[in-house]
Order: sequence, then C-alpha cells, then structure tokens
Amino acid sequence: MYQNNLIDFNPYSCLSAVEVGKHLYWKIGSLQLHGQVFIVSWLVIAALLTISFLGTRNLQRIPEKFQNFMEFVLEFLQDIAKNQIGEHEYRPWVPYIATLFLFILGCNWAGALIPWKLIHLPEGELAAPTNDINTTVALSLLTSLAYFYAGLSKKGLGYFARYVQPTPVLLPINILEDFTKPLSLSFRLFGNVLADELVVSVFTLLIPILIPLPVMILGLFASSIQALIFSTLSAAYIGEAMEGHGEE
Amino acid sequence: MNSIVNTTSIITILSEHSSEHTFGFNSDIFEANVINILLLLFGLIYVLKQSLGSSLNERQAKVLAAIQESEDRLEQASSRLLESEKQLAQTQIIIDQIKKEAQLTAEKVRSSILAQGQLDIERLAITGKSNIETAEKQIRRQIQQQITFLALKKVTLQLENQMSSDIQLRIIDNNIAKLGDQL
Repeated sequence: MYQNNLIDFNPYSCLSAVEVGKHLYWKIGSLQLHGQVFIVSWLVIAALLTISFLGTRNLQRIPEKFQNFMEFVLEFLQDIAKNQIGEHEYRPWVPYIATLFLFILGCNWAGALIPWKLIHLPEGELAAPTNDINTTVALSLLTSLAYFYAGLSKKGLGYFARYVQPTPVLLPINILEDFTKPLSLSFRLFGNVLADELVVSVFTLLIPILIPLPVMILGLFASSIQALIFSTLSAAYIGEAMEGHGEE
Repeated sequence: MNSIVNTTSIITILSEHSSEHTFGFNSDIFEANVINILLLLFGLIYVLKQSLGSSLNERQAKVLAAIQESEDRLEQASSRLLESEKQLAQTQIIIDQIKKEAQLTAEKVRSSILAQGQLDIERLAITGKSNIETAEKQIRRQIQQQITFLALKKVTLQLENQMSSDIQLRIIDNNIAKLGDQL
C-alpha cells in the first residue's frame, strides 16, 4: 500500500541504479556523438598540428634542437613504413602511418598524463579518446580501407587473386581475415587503453598517493607500445596487400 | 498531496540540474589524481631528456659530420674540376699550336716541292736545249761534211772531166812561178 504512496510522493526518485560510465552526448540531427571523445581528440589534433607547424618554420641545414627532434621522429616513422612496406613503395604511405602513430600516441598519453578529472563535465568525463570502441574501430576501418585501396590501386582487380593464394582451400580463411584484421586491431587498442584507465582509477580510488604510480608507468609504456603496434600492423597489412608474386 | 509531489519534483529537478548539468572545476585533488600525474610527468620528462637528449645530440653530430663530409667532397670535386678544366684549356692551346705548326710545315713542304719541281723543270729544259744544240751541231757538221764531200766529189769529177795534161802543166807552172816570186 505504502509503496504506491511513496511513488506518488516522489515519482522522480529511483530506488537503485547501477552505472559503469557515462558519455557526454551531443546531438547532431538524429545522431548522438560522444562529446568527450571529440573534445580530447580535437585537443590532440591541435597539439599535433601546432608542433608540426612550429617544427617546420625555420628550417636550416644544420638542424637545431627542435628541428633535430622532428627529423628524428620523422626518421623513426619512415623506418616503420619502410620496414613493413618495402623500399620502393613506402613513400606515399608515410603520412598515413605517421598520423596513425602520432594520433594514437598523442591520445593515449594525453589521456594518461593530463589531469582531466579536474574538469567537471555535465555527464561523463574526459579521458583518452581511444578508450572508446568507436574511435579504435574507426581507426582500424581506416586501415582496412587503406590496404584495400593499396592493393586495388596497385594490382587492379587482380588483387582478388590474393584470396586464392597459395591454395584455393584457404579462401574462407582469407575472407575471414578481412574481418578479423580490423577487429583485432581495434580491440587490442581499445582493451589496452580502457583496461589501463580502469586499473588506474580503481587504484586511485583505493589509495590515492604513490601506489598507482607503477601502474601508471606501465600504462604509459603499454600505450606507446600499442601505438607502435597499431601503426606497424597497419603498415604490414598495406605492404602485404601490395606485394607482388614476382618480388621477395 | 499533489502539491507536495509537485514541489518536491520541482526541487529535485532544480537541484539535479544545478549540480550535474554544467561544466565546472572539480577541486577534489585526490580524485583527480593530480599529484601522481605530476610526478609521472616530471619523471617522464627527466627520463626522456636523458635518453632522447643523448640520441638527439648523436644525431645532430652525425648530421653535421655528414654535411661536413659532403661539403668537403664537393670542394674536392670542384677543385678537381677546375684543374681538369685548366688542363683542358692548356691541351687545347697545345693542340692549336700543333695544328698551326702542321699547317706551316705543310706549306713549307708544298712550296719546297714546288721549287724543287721548278728547278727540275728548268734543268730538264736546259738539258733538252743542250741536247737539241748538240744534235743541231752534229747535224750541221754532218751536213757540212756531206756538202764538203759532195763539193769535193763534184770538183773531183769536174777535175777528172776537165783535167788534161796541158791544164795540169799549166797549173804546175803557175805554182812554181808563185813560189819563185816568194823566194
């Protein structure tokens, strides 16, 4: 009897609720966007653009400190692409691989190194954009698109002959690979970043001072490795799609 | 009852709205993990400075060395280029000289051959003339001889025809008389 009255008394109370995490929703038309992902992504993109703009302003023959650093980074990224794709065709793919690496590294480290929780959002909280499965799936679908484009533009429709290489028995596996590649890429990155964030926040909740530090260091290390792995694997898929039967 | 429900619902709505649906600054430092993050940041910057610093300096040194080396090679190559250009110019001069000398020599040889030929022609002409003269003389002599012979023959014939003992005696008497005049 009284529970009816209770509901009459305060229909806006809920007796219990369980929630894991919320997103900051932005509505565009009929779509809902995760606003917190966009905010941090925009910040990371702005930071990358600023650094690349500042780094290439005053180019000199003998590199100064910042230019030296930028050239070092560029050589590192070129190496990734060159090792996976091969000497002759890696040049057009360096921007893509480099952007993947820098964006993922920037997102992961921004999520780990900037105290986002100081900013209070109406809903949800700011964190690494790659802890959202949508981001990582988007990046891996881009890689899928990239390696399809690479294969098709290099070999035309003969690209599909790859599916029956070396034996036609492997056709279903090769087709399945086209789905598992983006799946594994996205889930690897998403799982690593989200898990690290969760562990750090649980540790912080329990013992806020100093104890979370080893986990945070591990998180930094693991997230940079994940960025490297994502970009290396993307380059490997692109190289694999482009390799001909005459080479190697 | 309804008015109580309405006021509580209004208050609930207002309170929820004011505390949760705005952006703001969360000053709970522990929740925001600021200390740890700051420590982590400083540690990261320190470590990165050490490792990246050394490798970046190495890289800068390498780049400098590579630039220096290629500049040196450029200098060497350009100096060698200059030298070989000079040599080329010299060789060109020598070639010109040789050409000129060859031309001169050719001219000289040509003119000497011409002169020689001229001399030979003259000599041949002289020889020819002398031969002709000799032949002429010889022929003249022969003609003279022939004429003399013929004349003598004629005379002898005449004499033989016209000679008698009277004429002979007369000739001898004349000659003796001439002789006598002289003595």
